[in-house]
Amino acid sequence: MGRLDPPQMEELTEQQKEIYAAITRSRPRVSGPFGVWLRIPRIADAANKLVNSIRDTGKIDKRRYEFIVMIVAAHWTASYAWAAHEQTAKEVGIAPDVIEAIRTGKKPNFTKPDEALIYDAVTSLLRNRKLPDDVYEALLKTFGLEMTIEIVSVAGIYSMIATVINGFEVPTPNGERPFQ
Amino acid sequence: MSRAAPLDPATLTPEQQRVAAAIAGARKNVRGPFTIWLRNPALAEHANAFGIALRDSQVLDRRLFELVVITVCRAWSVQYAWSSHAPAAEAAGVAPDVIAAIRDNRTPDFKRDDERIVYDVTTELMQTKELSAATYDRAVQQFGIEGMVDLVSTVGYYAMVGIFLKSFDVPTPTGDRPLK
Repeated sequence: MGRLDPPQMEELTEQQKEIYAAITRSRPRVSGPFGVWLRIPRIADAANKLVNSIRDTGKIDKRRYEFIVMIVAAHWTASYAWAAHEQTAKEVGIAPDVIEAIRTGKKPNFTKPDEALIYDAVTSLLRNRKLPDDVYEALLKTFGLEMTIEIVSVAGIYSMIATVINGFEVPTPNGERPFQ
Repeated sequence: MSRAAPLDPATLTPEQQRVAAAIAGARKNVRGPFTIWLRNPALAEHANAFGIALRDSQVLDRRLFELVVITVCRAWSVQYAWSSHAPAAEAAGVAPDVIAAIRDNRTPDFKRDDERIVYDVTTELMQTKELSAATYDRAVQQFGIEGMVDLVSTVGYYAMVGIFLKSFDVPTPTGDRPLK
């Protein structure tokens, strides 16, 4: 059980129903952090648009996106985010042994250089709370400035999501406990 | 110097001009993270709107909002955001000795219970990656569920802003480093 009950359709106000409909245009259901945010339609609407601005209209490809989500979810031990994304991460081409290493807090053996670089950048940002010059320069050289902006924005947005998941102890969909 | 130079206003696309005007309307000017996010106008637009939605909390007054912001800035050593929000915190009524204690990584001697609760929620989430039942319960008693959604979301939002600013090493306007 999480700290908040999931939203019940019959209890929603008209404004909440509108936001519910907007969120489910790009998601199968209103769950996880969006279940928390739905209590305040203004916040739910803004959060939905922010996430969609990169998830749906960003240029970052799905593999890199889901790869960052895995790193961020594991860093914050945000079980809901991990459980909601792990299958997708596999489907978009992240190697199972890479996913497993991230889950258990080990450095993966990368076969893809872009994943190794993104791992170094995001891990440094989250653990050391800074980004060394050489890693920034490598990001810029490999991906260019616009993609670097997207990469670190995904890390930031999912850190924000992880904070909400942790603050409200949002439960995993099927009781999964990926970090225990 | 920031790692990413601000865009020349003369080179903005119509979409970037529209978003820049919206940001400037809400924040007086386009500064800090928004100068960089503006390269991706959809991200800039919705990062701005989410921040404004949180700032307009119906439960947390501006004093508590700015206290959250500076506490997150300290946790991530975000020089730029500290330099713009520490004066805002003081103007909104956070005591100077509280601000100085946060800046110096000391636990403030709070005179107000609501500030102590906000500080405890923020530091627990950022330092321990979880929120104890005792602190959660105290916060819900003080602010209600809706205030708690605003509070936790604001912590997460400024973690995102911090990650972004650290990625680009955005300096303070004068180049000083208030956070040691």
